[in-house]
Amino acid sequence: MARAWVIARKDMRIYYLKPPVLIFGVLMPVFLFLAFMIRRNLDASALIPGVMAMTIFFSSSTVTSAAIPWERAQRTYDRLLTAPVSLVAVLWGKALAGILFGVVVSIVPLLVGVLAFGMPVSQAWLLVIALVVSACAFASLGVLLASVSTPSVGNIMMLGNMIRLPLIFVSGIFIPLAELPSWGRPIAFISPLTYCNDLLNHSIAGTAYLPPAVDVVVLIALWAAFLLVGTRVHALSKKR
Amino acid sequence: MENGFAIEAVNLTKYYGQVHAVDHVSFGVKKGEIFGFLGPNGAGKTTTVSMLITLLTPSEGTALVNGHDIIKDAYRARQDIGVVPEMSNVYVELSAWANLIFTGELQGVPRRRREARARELLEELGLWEKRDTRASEFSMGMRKRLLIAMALVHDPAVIFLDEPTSGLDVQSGILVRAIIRRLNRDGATVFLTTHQMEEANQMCDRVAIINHGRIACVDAPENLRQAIESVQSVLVSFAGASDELERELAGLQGVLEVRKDGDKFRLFTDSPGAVVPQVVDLARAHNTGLVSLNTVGPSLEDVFIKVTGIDVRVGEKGGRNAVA
Repeated sequence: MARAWVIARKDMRIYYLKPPVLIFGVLMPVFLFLAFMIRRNLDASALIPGVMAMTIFFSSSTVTSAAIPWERAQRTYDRLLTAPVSLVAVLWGKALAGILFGVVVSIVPLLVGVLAFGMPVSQAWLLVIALVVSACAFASLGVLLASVSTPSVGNIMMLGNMIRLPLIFVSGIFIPLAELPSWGRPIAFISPLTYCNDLLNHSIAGTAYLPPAVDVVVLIALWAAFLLVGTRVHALSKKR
Repeated sequence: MENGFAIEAVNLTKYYGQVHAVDHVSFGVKKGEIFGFLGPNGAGKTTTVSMLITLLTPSEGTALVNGHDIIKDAYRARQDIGVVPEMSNVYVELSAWANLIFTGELQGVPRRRREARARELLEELGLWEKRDTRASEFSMGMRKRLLIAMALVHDPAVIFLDEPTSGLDVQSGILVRAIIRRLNRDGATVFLTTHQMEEANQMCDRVAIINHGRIACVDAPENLRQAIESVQSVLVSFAGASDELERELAGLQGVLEVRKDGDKFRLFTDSPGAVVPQVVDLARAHNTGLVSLNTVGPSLEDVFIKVTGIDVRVGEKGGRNAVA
């Protein structure tokens, strides 16, 4: 864990201000937010959870999925793999940098909601849990995306957006889960973002479609699954 | 080490589909020696080294590095190795100091020790004044020195260097070679991959030549040279050499091949003693002086050519076919 933190701190210094991270981790959620709110007369409690969910989704997964191919291209990834550090610790270090980035960036729309629109937060403790478990799940998704063995950040970003954008549209952010047709709901449950958005609705607006415990359990399960599969695929590429 | 080996490869093998990149390679590197690992491009050098430094998992076989199995005990093996790759892999966004401190942290070196070691290494490698400069602003030679410092921050017992002087200016090359010798004097085992035969000849206690994924020979450079004693040459430099003189050199009795090396001619022969007087006579006949005249034994490059069957000189004037 200590070595993972060493890697995470280094990633924070190097990758947080890289253009792909700023474009896909910060600007992309802002544009989606604008597309979401313009000409829609929504109050902050209905608006902010969705914006936060998209922000944490993009920012957490982008840092991780950009940093690994970047390191491959610079050959610094070999340095990590030949150090006395397990592959899990290396990847967890990468995920940690994404988790912290996602949590910090997603606090910005929260502050806008609270300070500018006077948005109440129904359950602050649940909000903290929602941010942390969501960031963990999405940063681990970044680990999985980066397991595609390429040194090209562009390739991973393209693949990432091909997967992430559809997951946003089926997640219940644009059409609430309760209003989805019966055939649409099973599709929504495929998206990890659905559980994040639902949990944020719980913690901010006080109402949501699923019980919060279900959201938390699913997000934790996804976190473990993404990290496990991602680690396996990374380990396989070492054997090749 | 019980058996005195710092590195012991046992049937080390790597397949890529049907291709045997490394084919049941076995060799030992004695503790405290500088071991050269030579071979033409695509011979399996990089794959072998990648397996030894635990970057690639072998398809078959294994190796012990400082007594630790690279498959079963990779963590301990990594603690004992330092790697200097050919291509720079410093973090260019970080300063020299930050690079060293990060590497020390990654290697688990305690804080006081890593700071003291980082300072010591930066001073020794002439980078202390540039410690706060980002590595992106470093020249190739400075980056190479930083790479070496990063590989040494945890005092590894075995150091892998891949083409350590490739692309460096003369001064940096001399400095890097001096550092390698000093490391070796201090007790480190050095595994040196190089294309430069003269570097291997000057620095290595023993060399291995790998070809088509198999070890073709392992021995001291001098022993290898003596093993192909038949390839000798006479090196001559004339005060003034005409094309006609050059043509006549090729016609001298016992001369197998003539190669122009800068301002000198190298005459390959089985009997240098018979060729030397003919060269002197030829100089007299052309009314020109001799600047230098030496007999030369086979070089490590000759050994390399013989063992690998690749004549890198084919196509040059007077070029000969492979000696193998």
